[in-house]
Amino acid sequence: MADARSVIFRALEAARPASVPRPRRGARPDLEADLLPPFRAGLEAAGGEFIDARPDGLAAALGQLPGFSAAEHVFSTWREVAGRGVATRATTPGELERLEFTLIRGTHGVAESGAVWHEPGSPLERAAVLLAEHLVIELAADAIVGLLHDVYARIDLAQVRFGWFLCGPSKTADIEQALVLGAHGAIRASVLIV
Amino acid sequence: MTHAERAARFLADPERASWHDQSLWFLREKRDRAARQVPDWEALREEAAAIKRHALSRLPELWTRFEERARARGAVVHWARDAAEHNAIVASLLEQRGVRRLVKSKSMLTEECALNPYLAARGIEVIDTDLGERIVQLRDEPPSHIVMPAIHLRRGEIGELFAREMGTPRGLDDPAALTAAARRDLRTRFLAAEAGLTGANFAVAESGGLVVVTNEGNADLGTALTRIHIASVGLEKIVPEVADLPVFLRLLARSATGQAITSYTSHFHGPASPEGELHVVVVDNGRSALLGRPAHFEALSCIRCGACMNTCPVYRRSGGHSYGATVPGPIGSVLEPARSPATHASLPHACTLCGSCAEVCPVKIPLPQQLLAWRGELRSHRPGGVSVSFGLRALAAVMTNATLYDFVGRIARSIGRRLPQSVLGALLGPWTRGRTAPVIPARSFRQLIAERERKRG
Repeated sequence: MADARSVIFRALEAARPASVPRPRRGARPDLEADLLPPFRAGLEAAGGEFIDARPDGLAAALGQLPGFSAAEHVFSTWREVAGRGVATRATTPGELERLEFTLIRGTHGVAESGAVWHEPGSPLERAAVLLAEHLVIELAADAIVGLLHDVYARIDLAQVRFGWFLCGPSKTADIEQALVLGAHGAIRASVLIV
Repeated sequence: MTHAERAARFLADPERASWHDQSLWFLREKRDRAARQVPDWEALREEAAAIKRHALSRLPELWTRFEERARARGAVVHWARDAAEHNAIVASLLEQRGVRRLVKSKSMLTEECALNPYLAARGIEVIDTDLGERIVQLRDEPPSHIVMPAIHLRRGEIGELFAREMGTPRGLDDPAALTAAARRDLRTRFLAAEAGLTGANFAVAESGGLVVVTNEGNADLGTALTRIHIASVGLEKIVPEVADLPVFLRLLARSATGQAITSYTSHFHGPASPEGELHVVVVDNGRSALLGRPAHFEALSCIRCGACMNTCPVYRRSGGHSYGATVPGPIGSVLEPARSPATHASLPHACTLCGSCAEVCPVKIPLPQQLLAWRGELRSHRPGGVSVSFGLRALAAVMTNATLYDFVGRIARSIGRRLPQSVLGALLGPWTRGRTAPVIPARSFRQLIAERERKRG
């Protein structure tokens, strides 16, 4: 395919438009000092659930999620909570199909949109985020920054094989634009603030 | 067939046409609300446009850098001059690995390349996994919108389709229930697939990575459950730096659906798992030729948000299929004639030059100017036939001669005022379909002004 490559590069060179310099980075607006309210509003607008777990602690907040106590299959990256069912024995992503809950830790939150940056520790963890019916993300209150730009300034993609912003459950509006939560991935998504 | 002829078919069902119109305008309104919440919205558009123009002037350097970095991260980069090469590369990657089942997330590029029929003919099953794309795939028709592929269909039609294809109860037309049925059906296909194909919203030269956004999570499931990830990427998708990503990501979902961000924004740098493979197929297919067209190359800045379609009065009232092209709407009407002037010559005329598309475009592509430029270039392909070209020439003759204009005006007023509405309507043809002909005034504007001046003394 070296041939196709050189043909394409010659064509690009021949068609090159006049040089345009890199623009200067724009000034970003300052958000209000308390980033939690806009984060919450963004997350809820995306169909996600915001839970402040600081008063009662993580364990109590988790116990209150409907269906969690009785759940048979739970994938957990939290030290405090053990995995259950298929999550304890799966070696391939497909085996996680029946997951009810997946518990992960987000590293950064974005106040402007309610999105959370997450770097899966393994391919299984990544699949678990997608296959569980209910995704639960732990996020430190002080890990929330104002804008998307602030997150990119804090992460180093040179070190990250795979990372993603997650915002609310999976969703679709492909049938008559009616919003339906739970397209292929999580049907519910909660962010627990610690 | 011209755009107007295909649009007439769509308009034969006025109820559907009116629903389609309102439904897309609803998206435009959501986009406006989302944009108003971002204080630096206009500055973001300026910056995004400038980054794209910069990138378009540096494509050889950026792609060289991307290739080097992507390789260092473990990806394999392939180059395809056209659709045929792209399809052959994908097919040979799959065949060499014995893949019989491929799950695909939304990629307008693979639509453009007609990848699905190519692979099907080689015995490889391709399942489109975006719900809207799956619906149109099962109906064996192309998407009618680049973000909402099945926006031309009503829930009842999708219910009937699912009853036939997925065994849902007859008469079921609740979107939530239909989505749940598709989720179950597609889940088994995700689990059975051996490879996943995605497009890419952005390729980043600095990091050698790809960014893919979806709301459904289908691109992610397709690549998390399989070992082989093939990403088909057009030459225009490259941005120079990681720090450029937030500029585009803050604009993209807001412009597309009014969301602040999509549910999933995935960053791939090399294969997502250490045992996996990532193949990036970079495709030209007419893009370098478009780059060489001074009046039109800025269309390569497009980030495929669909905002120009949602706002376009012609698109909303004629439906995506009336364009007969992979990408419909204003941006499609600029891109498609570059690929095939004779086939798509009527598209630049499917436009009132109202300018709404340029107002909403997140990367500020001057779409109306580009459409107008196409009309000039495609003179030999002008639609409308003799009656339109004769009419326009006659109009030009009258409008450029004051005496003739005055004379014709007098005749039109004296005859026109005596004609009943029905006759006048017939004379004015399509203009009076859906509206009454205006009442012809007794005196011309110039006469009225002259009278006013006289009265004032």
